[in-house]
Amino acid sequence: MATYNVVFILLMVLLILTYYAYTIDLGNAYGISWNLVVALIIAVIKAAMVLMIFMHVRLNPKIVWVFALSSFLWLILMIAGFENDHVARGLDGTYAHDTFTSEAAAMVQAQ
Amino acid sequence: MASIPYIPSYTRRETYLNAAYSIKSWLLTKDHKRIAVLYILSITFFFFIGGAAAVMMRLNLMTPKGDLVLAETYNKLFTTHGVMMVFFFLLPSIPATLGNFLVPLMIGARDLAFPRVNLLSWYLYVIGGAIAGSALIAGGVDTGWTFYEPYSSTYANGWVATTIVGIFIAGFSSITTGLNFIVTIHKMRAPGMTWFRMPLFLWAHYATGLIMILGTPVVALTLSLVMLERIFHIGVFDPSIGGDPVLFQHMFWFYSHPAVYIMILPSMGVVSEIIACFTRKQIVGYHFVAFSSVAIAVLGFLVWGHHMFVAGQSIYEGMIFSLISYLVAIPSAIKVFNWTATMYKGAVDLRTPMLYALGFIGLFTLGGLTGLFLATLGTDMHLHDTYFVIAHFHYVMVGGAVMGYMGGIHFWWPKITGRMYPEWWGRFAALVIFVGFNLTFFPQFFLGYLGLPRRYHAYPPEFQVLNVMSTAGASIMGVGYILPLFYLIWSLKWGAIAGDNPWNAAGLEWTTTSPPPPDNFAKVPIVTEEPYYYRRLDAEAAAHAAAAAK
Amino acid sequence: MSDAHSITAPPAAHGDSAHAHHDPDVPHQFDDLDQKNLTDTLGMWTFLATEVLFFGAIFAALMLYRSMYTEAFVEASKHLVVGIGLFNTFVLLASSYTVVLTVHAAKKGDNKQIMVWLAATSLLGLTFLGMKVVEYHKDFQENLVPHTADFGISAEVQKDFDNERDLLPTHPELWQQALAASKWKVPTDRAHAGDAKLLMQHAQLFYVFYYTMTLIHALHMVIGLGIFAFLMYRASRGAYTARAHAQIEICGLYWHFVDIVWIFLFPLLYLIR
Repeated sequence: MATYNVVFILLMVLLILTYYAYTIDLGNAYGISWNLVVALIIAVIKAAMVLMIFMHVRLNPKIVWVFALSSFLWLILMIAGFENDHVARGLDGTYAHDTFTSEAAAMVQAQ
Repeated sequence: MASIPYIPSYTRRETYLNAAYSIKSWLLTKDHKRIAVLYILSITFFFFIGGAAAVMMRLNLMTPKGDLVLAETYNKLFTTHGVMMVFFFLLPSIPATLGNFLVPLMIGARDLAFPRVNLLSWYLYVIGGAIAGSALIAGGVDTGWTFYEPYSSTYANGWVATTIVGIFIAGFSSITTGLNFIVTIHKMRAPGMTWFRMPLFLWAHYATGLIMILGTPVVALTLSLVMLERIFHIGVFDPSIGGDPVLFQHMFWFYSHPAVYIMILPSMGVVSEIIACFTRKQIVGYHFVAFSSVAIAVLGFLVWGHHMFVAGQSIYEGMIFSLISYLVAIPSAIKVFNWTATMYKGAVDLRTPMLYALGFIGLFTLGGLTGLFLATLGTDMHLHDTYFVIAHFHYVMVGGAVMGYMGGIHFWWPKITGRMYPEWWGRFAALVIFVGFNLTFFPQFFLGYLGLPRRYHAYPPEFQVLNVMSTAGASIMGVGYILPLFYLIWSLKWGAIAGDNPWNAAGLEWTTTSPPPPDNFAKVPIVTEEPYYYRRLDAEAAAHAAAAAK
Repeated sequence: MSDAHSITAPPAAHGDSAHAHHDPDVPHQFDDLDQKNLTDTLGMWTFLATEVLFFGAIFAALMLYRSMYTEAFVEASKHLVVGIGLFNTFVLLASSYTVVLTVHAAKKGDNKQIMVWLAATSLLGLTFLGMKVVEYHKDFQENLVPHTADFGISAEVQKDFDNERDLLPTHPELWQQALAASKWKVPTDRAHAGDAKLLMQHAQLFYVFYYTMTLIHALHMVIGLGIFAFLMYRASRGAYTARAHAQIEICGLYWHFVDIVWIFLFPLLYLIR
């Protein structure tokens, strides 16, 4: 029972943290949006706490762990596949690098 | 008080078929065997609708002008054929019929883990099929079973949203079936049945269940988005607000490629069982075949881009998908090698199920090899969207999956119904199907190589000869599929009564009566040996025969 | 269960182990209660795995478009009311906590407590849905509805520009000014009207995702509330005991999952930078 209370309080703290991380601009070093990374890390920690403790996965046999976590793995696979296409299309020049160039705008204007 | 002696009634045992006779006992059943029978009936119904559409298509294609039906009608026909055959026949075929019937029997359980969910699965299938079927027949959809954007959302006329609703509902039928199989195989095996004492049929269905669980929701969501776009005219694939139609293709094929492995893996499981029985041998390389099933399921999720080589996806992704598509052929090849090795020095008995299994091995190999042509980026530029693709997937789907289904139906017919089908009719029909099938689809490889695109209702006159051959083959194949309908129904009343194990086959399902009692086994079986114990069975049969001869 | 008039009963057609101890809490396909409980849990987790992939697919699409149109998505996200989102996240996390308390009560077999905590959870869920309605109302006032001509131009600003209807294509600068007045960071000069148009198109795409994802999530919540209503009904009939309460646990798992979806939805929609 006490564990549940602690976890609930921690979730609240993390929620406040999520908001504060949003208010700070962490920039785009190495082409990665660090705000996104931090937001996702905090979300994963929250989800892990709900999963492990509220949903009792921590107390369940390992088979439940496999079932619970494998779907997330598959999801990451899918996202990686889609992102790969986006990044690679950028590499071979399929996308204009800046969709807001004046040429693009002129094309739109001409419609 | 003198009690009346009990006189056992040898002519009437309680089986799942005669346990109750009312309609309610069938429509509200929780018995996996009855649900399997319900599925057999409904799947056959949708198979013939899809087949009728194919007949119309092939008749139209007999002449170059293709004026039997309007061009738009032709589009509606191939969409009906695709949707019915893919979503309402092939995907559920073996898992929902033979899988539902046999998974609990083969693992020695009394039923699946969730019998009511199993019944729900059938209702979802029938409701989905009714909705999609009526939409396809009432007004028709002309987008193709692939529903490519933005045509399907913005420009297509027809009953797209309704058809999608039907497919969505049937998708949940698939999900619940897979869910049941996975949990059942994990938790309800009989004492002594370790993972590696399971028949390969179960490994195949486990791998299939994995794909059903992990893949189907993605296409459910993707098609829902198309439906929302159609209804509310706002969509995520709409180019006018920056949407990407190629993303639809990514999301669609992320499921639809693994879906073809849902169609083929159970069939491979059936073939393993049949080959073992009709060569009276252990399957060579049992572990390899078991791991290959799981490998196909996993690798199958990594190759979806090979449907999109010319769609505008980046060339670098194309190379990765091409490579992995080659890799996914390897586990399939491993299986074919192992089946062939099993047949070597086996006592091959060419009964009907074996004919279908042999047909599977040959035709699936041909289809799989032609898949490699399509997996190669260079040749796919030429072959994509031609009849070569159509021939390829019909070889693996019809020559492979459907042959496995027919073989399995015949192999387990005595177990399901307690009757034997007429053997010579069975062999004849198998041969007719084989000849008809090859005549239908082999010319299509040439048509595709020569450049005839798919989904065209008319074509240049120089392609007519090959098209007519194909249509002729289709009519023969049609006869071949209708024959079993007749003799199998005939056998229900007049077929020879099958004993508990007419094939003297190995497996827990053969240790119980034909048809099985409602709770499957009189006593919970205890498994102590490897599967495919044919050596022991044949030794016992020989000893029995020797004792009887004395 | 033997026939009353037989001296030698026919061989039982049923498995001997299941009927040796006919446990009313264990359905006939299971051997014992432990098998049933673990199987039920695994079944629910398998179903949740499908839900992960279901929501995951649209998350994947969102992530892809976000990387393609980052500027537009950042801009569009600013117009969502973060306060309501934060409050809703708090409400859902609290409802997860009350579900935990429900399961705790179920383990003790206390049907009254189960009903209390289920009611609390339902109340929190209804609060969430109520706030969503308020939020959508605000969104409609700001005209954040995709595929409308005045997308993004809030109702108040529209009043100011009411004389100049037909803002596009004849007076693009007016349209750009209206957008700027509605707090959109768009260029206001005619030369960059094309950029503004593109930005707003991609912002509309963001809002398609916003409505689709929150509505699908809300649908799952409604289903969850329906399930809880059913569980409350059963608890009122005293259906749950300390040994047989798996239904409460696995429905609790479903609700936690809906919460986890929101835990990811909130930052990825409301807090884009």
